[in-house]
Amino acid sequence: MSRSAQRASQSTKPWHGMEVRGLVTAAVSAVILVTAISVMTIPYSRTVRQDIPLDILWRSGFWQQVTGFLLLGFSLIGLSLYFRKHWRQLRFGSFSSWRVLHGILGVAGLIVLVAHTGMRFGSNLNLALMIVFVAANLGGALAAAGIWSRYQFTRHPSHRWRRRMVWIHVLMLSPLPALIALHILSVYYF
Amino acid sequence: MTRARIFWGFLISLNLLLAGFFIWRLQTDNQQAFLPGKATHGHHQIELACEACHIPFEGVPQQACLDCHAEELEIANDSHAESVFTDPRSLAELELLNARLCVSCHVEHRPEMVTAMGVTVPDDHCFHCHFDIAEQRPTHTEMDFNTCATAGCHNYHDNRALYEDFLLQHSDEPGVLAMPLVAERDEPEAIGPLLSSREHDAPTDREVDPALLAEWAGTVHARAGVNCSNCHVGENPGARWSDSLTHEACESCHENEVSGFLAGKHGMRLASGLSPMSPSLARLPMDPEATERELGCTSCHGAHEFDTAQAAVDSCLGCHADTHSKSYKDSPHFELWQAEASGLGAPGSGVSCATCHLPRETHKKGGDKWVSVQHNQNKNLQPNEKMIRDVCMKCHGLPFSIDALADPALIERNFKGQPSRHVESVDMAVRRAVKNLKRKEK
Repeated sequence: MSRSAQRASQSTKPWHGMEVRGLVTAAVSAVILVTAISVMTIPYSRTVRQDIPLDILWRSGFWQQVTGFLLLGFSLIGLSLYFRKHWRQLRFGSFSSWRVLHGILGVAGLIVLVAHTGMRFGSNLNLALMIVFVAANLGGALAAAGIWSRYQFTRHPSHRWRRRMVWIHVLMLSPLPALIALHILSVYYF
Repeated sequence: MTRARIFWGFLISLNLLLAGFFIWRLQTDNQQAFLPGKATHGHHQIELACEACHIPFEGVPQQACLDCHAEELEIANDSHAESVFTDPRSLAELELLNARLCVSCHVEHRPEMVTAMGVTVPDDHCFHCHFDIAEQRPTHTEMDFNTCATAGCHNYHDNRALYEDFLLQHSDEPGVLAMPLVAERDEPEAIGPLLSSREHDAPTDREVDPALLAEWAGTVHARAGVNCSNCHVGENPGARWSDSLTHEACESCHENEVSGFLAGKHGMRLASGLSPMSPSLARLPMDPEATERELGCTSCHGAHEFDTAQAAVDSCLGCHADTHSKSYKDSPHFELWQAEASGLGAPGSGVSCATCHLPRETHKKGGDKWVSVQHNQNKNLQPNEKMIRDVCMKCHGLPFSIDALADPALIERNFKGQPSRHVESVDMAVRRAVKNLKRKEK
């Protein structure tokens, strides 16, 4: 089946309610998290007498590495959506289910980002990485909104808008490999 | 070209460009692109001299901290030195806070974590080990753990002026001592006979400003036989005349002073191979007209006049414009300074900026005794109780000194007035001593 025929058949397939709900929930959660990360900071504790020493996530090098590599892992698994689309070997399960999983991974990544950074953007390289990561997730949420509207309002001329949103999401992700690699390098170098 | 190829071309090029830029910066002296956050007030001057603290792929070794601070900690008789934690019974506490490493409590580039004194652990960190202090010292029952170091009672490292026996020994001292004097500086050792302006040895082909010669002839340099060539040529064989001099020219005679200068906030950038410190780089309020100045020996002492009185007050106030500095000329310390300068006050009775921040230190070795000026102002700056023994107690009693330094408003007014708060540590030490005495008598 040609790619255009595939697309046509995909767009006419009934979109399961669970997948819609999954993608929309992921998008809304991502927007909420991105907004929170952009406007809030979790302050460092002013006491060592805590029942749950949440601070350890930001103070301990070990936990910084755990959350950092978890974030890297989520980002790499999130990339699998691209390979599902372009690699025949990965064509199991519906594409929309993979997309929902991609969205859930995005939200999970943002939650781990909160644990990794305490919602602090840092400076210079770290600042650039945070901005790109957060913006890419916001772009993903907008892309999800585009996809949802495409299926929700069949007469809505949102196909072009959806494609643009997806492209913005992809473009925002594009500097991430270098920035993540440089961030990891800088942590171990310094 | 397909859209996919264009995209992949863009993606790979963008990432290679980014990686290339940052890795290029890593090879240069300016690695600011990697700076994860501002450094603390103690290190911000050298935050771009990464290699001063970091070793590539090894982090920040303890030795990097000790290279600059070991001597200071030894002099302070560090209350929490590494040797305190060699007892295996300390292991449980060290699991909570590894007090053997400086970076456990002093993390850099995390400005949101920093509290007073560049500490990055919560104020009540003493709780980890001293949680049962109220059982040992019932007087501490009502005290919170976040007041240990903020109430003028304890310091983590330097308790030379705060330990119990010392408090008892000086408990009955008055606010101002009977002989409030600081040591006088020694007349420097002459390297030759007294020189007059006609005896200068500047090259004959150079046009020499008579005003500069007059300034030099009136200085201790001329009295000690130090001629133009001693500084402008130096002692290295084959050295040639140079108009602009650095601290290295002064170092051959003033080694201790230059060493102190390089260790302090004024010279630490030079010591790290960076450009000289400038008021424009400072975090404290500075005079806007002084922002472009660069700090070296002559920025405070002048290039030829070497007037120590000017260096002790006017040079400081030429740059520093914080409330404490601006209040100095309205303070009783300045009145004493003026009185000494006019001959009304006894030698050593005046109090300048340098009296407290670049204090005179008396050294004894064998039968010799000499006085030098400590040019590392960071040595007694923070916590300010470090100033008590070597500075305040030259003129003031210990109880008054502790109270005065624990009163931020009084410090802002540059000690005009009396302390508005009273630190109870001396009273508590006396009460405990009396109680112990009574117990013994029974």
